[in-house]
Amino acid sequence: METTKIKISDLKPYKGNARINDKTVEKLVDAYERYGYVVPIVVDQNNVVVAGHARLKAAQKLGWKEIDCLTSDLSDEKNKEFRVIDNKIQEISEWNDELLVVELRALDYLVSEFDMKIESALTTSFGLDVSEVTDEDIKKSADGFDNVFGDRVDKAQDRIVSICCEHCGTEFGVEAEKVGL
Amino acid sequence: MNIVDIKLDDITPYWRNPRDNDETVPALVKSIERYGFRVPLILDRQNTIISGHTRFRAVRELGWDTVPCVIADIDDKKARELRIIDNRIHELTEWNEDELQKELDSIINLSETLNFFEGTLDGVFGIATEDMSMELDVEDVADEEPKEDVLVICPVCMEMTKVIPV
Repeated sequence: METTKIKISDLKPYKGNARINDKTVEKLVDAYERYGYVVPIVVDQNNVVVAGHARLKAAQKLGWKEIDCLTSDLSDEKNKEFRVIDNKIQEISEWNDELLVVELRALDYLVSEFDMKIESALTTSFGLDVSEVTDEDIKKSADGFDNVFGDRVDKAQDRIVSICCEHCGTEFGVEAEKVGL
Repeated sequence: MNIVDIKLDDITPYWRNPRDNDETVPALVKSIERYGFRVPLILDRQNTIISGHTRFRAVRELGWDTVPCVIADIDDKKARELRIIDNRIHELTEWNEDELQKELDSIINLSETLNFFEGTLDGVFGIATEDMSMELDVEDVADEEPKEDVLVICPVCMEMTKVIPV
C-alpha cells in the first residue's frame, strides 16, 4: 500500500457525499496542527474522494498545496457502496464510558496545560460540562479532574480491574462487573 | 507519508482503548472481503494502536500476517490524546438523510450488498436489528476448566486467560 501526493486542486469531492462535516473540519484543522496528518485520503482513479471529505476540507483551510492519498482500484459501483457502508460501520462502535473517563483522567494535559481548544472538544462534546469550572479551579487542586468529572471517575476506577494474561504476560483491564469481581 | 507492513504479532492494542467494538468487527471483516483494506492502522512509536483497533481485530480474524500501518511521529501523551480525539472528531460528522437515501437508491445491487454482509449491518440502515452480541460464551469454555474460573480473551494474544486481578 503506497500513498501518492496529489495536488489539492486536482482532488474532487464526490457530488453525492451524504455527510455534513463542518464541525469535523474545524476540529480536524486543530488536530492536524497538534498531531500532524496521519490518515490518508482515499480517492478513486479519477481523483474523486472515496473517504476523507472532511480531511480534504481541513487541508484546504490550512492552505496545503498537496496531500498524501491512496488510490482505490475498486469499480465506481463498489466505491459508491464503500462510501456509505464504511461510514455506517464506524458508527456501530460505541464509547466505553468507564474506560473513557479513566483515560481522560490520565491525560494530564487536561489538568496541567489545559489546552482549551482540545479540552472543550473533549469535555463539552462528551456532555461533561466544565463551563462553570475555571482553569484556576482545576490547576490549584491535584484532584481538580475529579471535581470536574465527579462520580463518573470514582465509578470508573472501581469498575476496571487489571489482570495479567497467563499466556503472554500482557496486563490489560476488564470491567469488574462483567467478570463478576 | 510512509505506509509500512507490520506483523500483527508486533502490534499491541491499547489496553484502555475506550471503544466497544465487538459488534463492529464482523461487519468490518465482510467490508474488507468486499472492498479491500483501504485505510491503514495508525500506530505510535512503540507499535501500539492509536487508530484501528477494530481493523486490527478484523484482519486477525481474516488470518493476515501483516497489516499496512502509519507510524505517527508524536510523543506518548499526544498519542493518548489522539486515540480519543480521532474517534470523537469522526462523530461530529452527521448524515444528510436525503442525500443518503438518494445514494442508497442509486446503489444498483443494494439488497445483494446487504446479503453479502450476512446480517452484520442489521439495524445500521434502519433495517430490523438482530442480536449481534459477540459476548464470550463463558460456559462452553468452563467445561474444560475448574467451574469457579471466569475466563476472558487476552486482547494481545487472543488466548483465554483466567481473571486474576494483578
